[in-house]
Amino acid sequence: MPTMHSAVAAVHGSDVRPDGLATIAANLALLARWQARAACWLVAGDLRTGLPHDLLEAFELYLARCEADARLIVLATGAHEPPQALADALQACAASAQIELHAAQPAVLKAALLAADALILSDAASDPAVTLAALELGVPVIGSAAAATAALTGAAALLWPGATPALLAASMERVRQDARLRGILRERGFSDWNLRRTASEPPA
Amino acid sequence: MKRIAIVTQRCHESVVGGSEALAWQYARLLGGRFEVEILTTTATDCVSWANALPAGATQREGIAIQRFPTVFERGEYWYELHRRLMLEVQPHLAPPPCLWRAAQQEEYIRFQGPYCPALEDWLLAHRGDYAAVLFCTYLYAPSYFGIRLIGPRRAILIPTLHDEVPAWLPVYAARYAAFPHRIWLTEAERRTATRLWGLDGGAVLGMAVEQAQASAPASLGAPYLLYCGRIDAAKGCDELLDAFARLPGRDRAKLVFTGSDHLGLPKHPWIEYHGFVDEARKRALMAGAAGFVLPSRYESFSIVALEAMAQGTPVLVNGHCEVMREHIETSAGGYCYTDTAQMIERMTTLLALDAPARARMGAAGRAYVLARYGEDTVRARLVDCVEGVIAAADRAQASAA
Repeated sequence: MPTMHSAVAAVHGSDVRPDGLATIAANLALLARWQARAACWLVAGDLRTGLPHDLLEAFELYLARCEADARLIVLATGAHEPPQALADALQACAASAQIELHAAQPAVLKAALLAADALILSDAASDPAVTLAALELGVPVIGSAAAATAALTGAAALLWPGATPALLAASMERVRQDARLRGILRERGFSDWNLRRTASEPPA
Repeated sequence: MKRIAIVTQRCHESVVGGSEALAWQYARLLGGRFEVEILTTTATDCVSWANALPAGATQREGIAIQRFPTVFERGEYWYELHRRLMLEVQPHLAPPPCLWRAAQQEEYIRFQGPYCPALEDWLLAHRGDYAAVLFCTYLYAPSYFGIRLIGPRRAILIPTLHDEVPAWLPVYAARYAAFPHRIWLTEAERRTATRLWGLDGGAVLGMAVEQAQASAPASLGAPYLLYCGRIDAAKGCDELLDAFARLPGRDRAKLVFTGSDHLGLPKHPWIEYHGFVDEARKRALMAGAAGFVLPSRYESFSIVALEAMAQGTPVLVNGHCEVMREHIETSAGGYCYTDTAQMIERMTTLLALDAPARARMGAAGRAYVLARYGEDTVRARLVDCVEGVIAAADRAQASAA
């Protein structure tokens, strides 16, 4: 069952500065729950219209094909509490036991990023600030190219034009199994994020 | 002269720490050949990392130092992460993959501190100004997060690695595998890196023993064993006290300590605590001791034990520490022990050595130190190493242009 989280911090998820998340402490209780050996996937965005079907379908495919105990963390940005309609929709879906819903407060977002195997972008579920925070913290980013924009992630993410649920599920499986790919995505993401910090010349 | 930088977590006259002393020594040894700059933090305390010194540029003995502020002190958040690392994650025991994702491992390193985004900004902005950048000690955030801002051709890692739980976090191995230029202090340290990280490239250079001139021995009225440095359970000092308390004939000998007491030494007639002493007094105490004891399991070099050997004093070390065991086995300048009973037995032996036997063992230790870790020897090896890295990077850059 999705967990409703009552937001108390006066910070909207989408207001999180990407260069400030590194110094924020994660919510340790959530981190303890999420740091499991099973896969943990993260989706974040303004989800007032609900969780995109392609994402939900991709996660259900992943559960069926790869890891039945995988987890999906859904963070609703831009609001102190997740939309009720979204909570209701997630509660009604077949994978509801494996999904948690929270408002994207900084400490919650930090915990989710630290625990996640990847941040998944979908056309209808992405947030530029969260994507930048993932790059800064070394969290792989995968999903729909249209949701990322090349300017945001460059070559630092595993992105697909016109990503289908099957393609998304396959990407999740690949990231989960391929440590080298995760390392490449992490380092490219960091370089990408770094370019935003300074316009200095790349090292020799 | 070419400009190089050395990144280290602390740098100040008041700081006591092995890797900090190493960074400063390397700055000094390289100073005649390069324009050396130390990039460090404003912290002096290696637990809190509180900002204690002014940020900005300063000079020490002609070497430029740039200090950058830490953005938080170590707090409950990190201690809770550390508790989980030790009790739940246990990367040294658990089969891979590590329970913590890479981002969480890096969170542990970041909040372990000292975390200095301004130092990273400096490296980003000025990396093109340095012919090479040396990063001293693998463990802390300035090296871990800073080295990735420098290309692998011009970065030189000085890990000062020992087998401790955080070293098993896979992100360390992954990060440092990308940086092939490394300086090891001993062969044992390099073997430790092979075992923990799967890496073995780099040069074994060591650290110069600066306090090698022979001193007149101190006399304390009874034979004594000496410990110098941070007095702490983490350094094995509790085991040392326990062993000495069980020593036969304990009341005819003394256990002498110098350094900072973080343990709270008990009051006993056979314990003498001298607090901080200057180098001359330390050498005299070393020269006069029946033996110098280093009970720490975790040492990547131990300059203080080598200083004692340079005074011709036999040393007794924890045989679980591969580096120290190598010093002893190679030099024949002392003994190792692997349990408390053996520690007591070896301490008894040291206190009972006759003068010729002590002199033979002491001479072997002193010869080992002077041959391997004399200042000129280490300087020559260090300059060769750094010049080699710079020349290779320059060639690669020229051919790419």
